[in-house]
Amino acid sequence: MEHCYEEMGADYAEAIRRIGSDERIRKYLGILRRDDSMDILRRALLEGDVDTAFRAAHTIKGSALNLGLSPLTDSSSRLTEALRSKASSETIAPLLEETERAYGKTIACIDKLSSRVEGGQA
Amino acid sequence: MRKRSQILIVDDSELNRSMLADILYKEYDVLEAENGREAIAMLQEHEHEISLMLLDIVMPEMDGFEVLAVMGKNKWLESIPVIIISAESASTYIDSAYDLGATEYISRPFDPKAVQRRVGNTVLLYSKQKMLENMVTNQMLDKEKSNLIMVEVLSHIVEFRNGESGMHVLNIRSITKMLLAQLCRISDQYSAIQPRIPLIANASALHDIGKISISESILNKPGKLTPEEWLIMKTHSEAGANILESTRYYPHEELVSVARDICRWHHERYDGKGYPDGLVGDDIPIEAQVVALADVYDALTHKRVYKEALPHEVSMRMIFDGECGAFNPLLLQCLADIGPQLEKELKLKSLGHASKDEMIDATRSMMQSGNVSNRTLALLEQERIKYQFFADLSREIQFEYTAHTDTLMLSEWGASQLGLPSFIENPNGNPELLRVMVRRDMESLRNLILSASPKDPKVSGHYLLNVNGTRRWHKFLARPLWLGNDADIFTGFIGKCIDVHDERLKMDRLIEQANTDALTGLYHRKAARKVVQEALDEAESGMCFTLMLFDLDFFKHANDHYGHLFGDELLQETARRMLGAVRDVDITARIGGDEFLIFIESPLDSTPAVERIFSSLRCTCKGHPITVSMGVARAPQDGMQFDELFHCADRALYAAKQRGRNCYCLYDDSMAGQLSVLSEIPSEEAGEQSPDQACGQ
Repeated sequence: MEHCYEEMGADYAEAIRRIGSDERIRKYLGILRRDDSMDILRRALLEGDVDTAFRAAHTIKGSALNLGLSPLTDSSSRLTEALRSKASSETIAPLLEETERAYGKTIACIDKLSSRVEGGQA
Repeated sequence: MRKRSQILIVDDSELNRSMLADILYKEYDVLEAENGREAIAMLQEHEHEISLMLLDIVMPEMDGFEVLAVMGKNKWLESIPVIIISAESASTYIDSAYDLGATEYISRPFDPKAVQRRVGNTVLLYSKQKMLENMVTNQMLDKEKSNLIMVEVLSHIVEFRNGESGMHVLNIRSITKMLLAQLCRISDQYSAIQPRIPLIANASALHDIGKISISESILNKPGKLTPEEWLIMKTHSEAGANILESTRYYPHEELVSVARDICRWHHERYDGKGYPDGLVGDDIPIEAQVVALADVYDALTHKRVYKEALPHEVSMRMIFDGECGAFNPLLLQCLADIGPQLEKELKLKSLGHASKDEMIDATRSMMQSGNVSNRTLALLEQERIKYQFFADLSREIQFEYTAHTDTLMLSEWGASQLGLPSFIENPNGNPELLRVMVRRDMESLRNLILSASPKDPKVSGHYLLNVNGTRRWHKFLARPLWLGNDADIFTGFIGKCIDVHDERLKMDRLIEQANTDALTGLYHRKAARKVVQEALDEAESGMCFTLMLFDLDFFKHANDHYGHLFGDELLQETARRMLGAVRDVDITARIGGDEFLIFIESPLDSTPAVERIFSSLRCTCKGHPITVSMGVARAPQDGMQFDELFHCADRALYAAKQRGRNCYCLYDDSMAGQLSVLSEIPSEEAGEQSPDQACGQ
């Protein structure tokens, strides 16, 4: 788990302090994996629905905060603020890209983690 | 085991809910809602079970601020603390959340221990507060109740010693209340007294406690008191005041200080001729003035050891004539105003109703001191709205009468249907109401409702209501309401009425058909007997009536000769002629085969009228001459009962036949022994004349 956090560039020490156990962190990462906020965010931005996009970004930010996922927290926070102030699409596009990148990396790490667990169990 | 508190987590993110639930599940039962709308639905369902709510701000459907606003409006925030958990750290967010009534604000990422601690503290704080609230409420209720009871007991001790029923205290209280309410209504000077009315009324119960110090021999002496005894008797007002002054509640407790004033000065008079201090005019506190007047009225209208009860009118006249001393003209005006109400109210009050006022007092003071929780009131309000909703849907005129406030409420639809306000104070004698329903009907309906018993509470009746200028039949269904199942304490009635006019008209037509002869459309014998008797019964003195009985001469002959159809035509023609010869108000009937009856109101000498009718019946129908033989009886000289008149007319008819038919005879006593035509059907063989011969006259 610590390895996984390292890979994501996230703060494992902070996460374990607050959440208490690897098992719990794993559970929450699982929930984050299932969360469709990123899809909602993408679709909303395509459709120009800024309010929905804001809520989705906000949810991602909250989850990242909870789990101590620092890179995702940083990028999604900036995106959230840009969406809150209804910034121009030129401002938003690079922030979205950044968030997507951090999100993609996070997901990849989570998947790797769970496959490792499953593999270990098998 | 102690019941676990329930916590509602409202967050659109499953991750957040899951994290919070993990923190809290060990100590609390956790409910979850995904958005504001769901949260409100759960609050509605579990309002009383939820101890705390954790609320996110940014959510789809309905956000956290909206949830707070709804909770505030429903007064849920008073009992359910809300902790906001949000990733927002902007101070405007935090401030708005606090402004809307949030208890705490925790920002993300949160420390589980911090959440646990804050949730724990808040739940504890609120439950403690709730417990304290309950304790205070119960204590207040107890205090209020024991106050009432103590006042009651004290005043009754005096009354029983005085050989009175215990009603006096209650009556004084009611009259005092009514006088004060009226005083507030008519005078701006005293309008500030309104909120103190219940207190003054309670205090009034103590007005005679000083009598405890008067010996029973004087108190219960049936005859006139000697001047010495009278002096002793008069000390009771001062004695009562002294008793109250010596309690440690005087003068800080308002109830006691008002009661003291009343005790001391309820025998003062406006002109200074009262006792013990001879105060003049408004130097006498208004509370004491009111109780003095109430005391006099009640003493006059009830039996005392030294006097009999006097009727309301006599008592009122004595008071207004100054026979009981001088009173504040303003108060006399109030007494005059409430006079009719007073008479009724006190008549209604029997011992059984005694506790009614007490219940209402207690309830009212509870409401006033705010001890009924807002939530209870909200629930009541909700019930009212529900009721209103269904009432509006049902298209019925629904009504509800509350005896205590003497108000009538009509459902909104009903009120607009009748063109009445939906809220009518003092409905008895209300002119607007009388426009819709006549007084007699209203009283009859009231009596009908009051006659119901808890065993069989539902009553129904038919009454005419004036709807948009036309009088229409309505069916009323109603039931009285009592406090619990005890019919002693009548609190009002509820009911509805439905327009049944068209049905009723149909019914009336059927009844009419049942009352009339199918061939001629005239009344048949039984119906004629009824309506004639009614007319006689309702007659005013000096009115005269004439009853004519006739049959067609030789009708049997014509019938046999020309057939029944022809006979029927003769009968129908006769009926037509009868109707042509009389007024609408007169009564016409076919009482047998070819026998008819006419009943008219007539002058004392009815011969011209009889002559005219008799001649107009003579005619020729299809070439066949019709003549009649007629017997005539007159009311009142021949009787005022249908049967008497009928009997006389019958004898006279026999006489007419004896005289050779085609004539009429007025009944006189010489005919008393005559045979009857109708009861003993005499044969027509006697004459054996042909119709032509008989009609030749």
